[in-house]
Amino acid sequence: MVDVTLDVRLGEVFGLAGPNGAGKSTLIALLLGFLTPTSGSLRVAGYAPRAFVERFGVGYLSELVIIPPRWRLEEALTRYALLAGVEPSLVRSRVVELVDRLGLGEHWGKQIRQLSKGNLQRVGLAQALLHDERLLILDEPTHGLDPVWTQRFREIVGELRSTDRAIFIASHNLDELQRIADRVAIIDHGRVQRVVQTRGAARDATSTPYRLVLAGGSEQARDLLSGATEPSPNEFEIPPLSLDELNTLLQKLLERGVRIAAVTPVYSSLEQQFREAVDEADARQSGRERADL
Amino acid sequence: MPLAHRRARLSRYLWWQLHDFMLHQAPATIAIMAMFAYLTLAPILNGSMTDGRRYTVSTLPENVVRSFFGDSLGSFMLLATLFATNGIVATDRKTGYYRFYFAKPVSAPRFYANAFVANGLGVLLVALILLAAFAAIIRPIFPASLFPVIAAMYLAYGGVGFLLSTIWRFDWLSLVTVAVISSIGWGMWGEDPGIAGLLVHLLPPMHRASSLFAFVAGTTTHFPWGAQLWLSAYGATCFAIGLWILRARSLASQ
Repeated sequence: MVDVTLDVRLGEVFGLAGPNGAGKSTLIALLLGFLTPTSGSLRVAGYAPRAFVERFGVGYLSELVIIPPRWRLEEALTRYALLAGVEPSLVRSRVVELVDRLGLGEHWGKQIRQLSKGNLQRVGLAQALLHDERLLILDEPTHGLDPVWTQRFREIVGELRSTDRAIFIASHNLDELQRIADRVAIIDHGRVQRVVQTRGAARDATSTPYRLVLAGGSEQARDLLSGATEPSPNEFEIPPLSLDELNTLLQKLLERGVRIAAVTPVYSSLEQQFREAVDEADARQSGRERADL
Repeated sequence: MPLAHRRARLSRYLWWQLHDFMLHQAPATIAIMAMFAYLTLAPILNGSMTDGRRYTVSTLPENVVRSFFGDSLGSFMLLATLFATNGIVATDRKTGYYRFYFAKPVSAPRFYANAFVANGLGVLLVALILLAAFAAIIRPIFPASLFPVIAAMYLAYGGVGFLLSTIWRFDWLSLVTVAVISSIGWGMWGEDPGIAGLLVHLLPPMHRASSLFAFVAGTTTHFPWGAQLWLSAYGATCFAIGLWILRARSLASQ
């Protein structure tokens, strides 16, 4: 990581996206104090990372959920609860509550090694939520979850959203970050390339092409869609347009009797920004390498 | 709302660490000590080491029993400590278990010091089980100095094992290597007045342990305070260096 400054605010769900090897896991290891920076310093709420974690704790879900395989599920959560500083008399009720919340009841007495990837991921999430942490760091939280639990995860993040909590989520899944994060930092080559506002920001219609699916009238539409490609019958991919241009085009199509079934952006705004950021970072990196030669 | 300072419940967690020791390391220690006892006593009982004179456990001479007790104690301490400190830190680093532990409000030195204490309690419990077995099978010997000496020797050997485990993952191999090298080193240069004699003082004084075990077994009457203090101080120093390394070094590898 080089020259990274991120300002994550309380009440915010902050996303971290980047290609493989971009430095996401390294940044998280630095935030938790598992690694120390080779130069410079890091501060979490004014504290050095280890000092922060050792004083207040962090709700952390690692990309790979690694728990001793012989531990039973409830045993694992009981142990982690004690380490999280949960009052001993409340440990059991807290564990039961989280097991219920994450649908793990049927696996209560099972050993960790008997759990599927998705269930293990849920155990990982449960241990991160054992204490009411003010900082949550979730690394690829939906990795291995089925669609039902991916949806449930989004709901849980919504429930956890609070004015005195910051939630930091690293994910490859841009669609997921687009849905749940307020802002997303895109990192590549160890640097923050840009920070994208994903919530409450107007979509920039010129930044993405659109996919238009028709229910009828393809012949009439073809004249108006001269610059579009046709990946399949009744489906057109329109080059990037402004919102006004897009709406004018749709109006003309409707006037010609074309029946429109769907209009969707080819890329979400985050995907588009991600592609641009990564392409720019690659170009800069190539430039640096050429300069070094 | 200001952040609330809190701490892990390590005194409660100690029971889980002790549970792990009793479940995994204790059975192996007991099994190997049973084998050691059988292999040591069988040649005495069947006469192959006593010029054809056979014994039963009840007719074993007192001096043989005491000597066997002292030897067993020496082997037990090395073995139990090896099992108790093997991978105590290195395994969590190697496997990645540390990630969930140390996202909680707990420092690595406190967590592993807790584990060291828990495993030490486990070693005492195993000693109690073996002592009961010794009393039931051979004859009762309950020297008052036994448990203080076991605790001191756990600190002495375990401190070295703990330090090695904080440094790298091949800790059991290193502990055995250190034990062998120190035995050879002290044997060859322990009395040397030159540089070699000075350098050998950096090695753990494991050769001094036999006098402690002999006192516990009752084969000598003079308590070797010097050996006890030297061994304990050496182990305590290694343990303290191990804690410092845990504080100073990154938990993850780059």
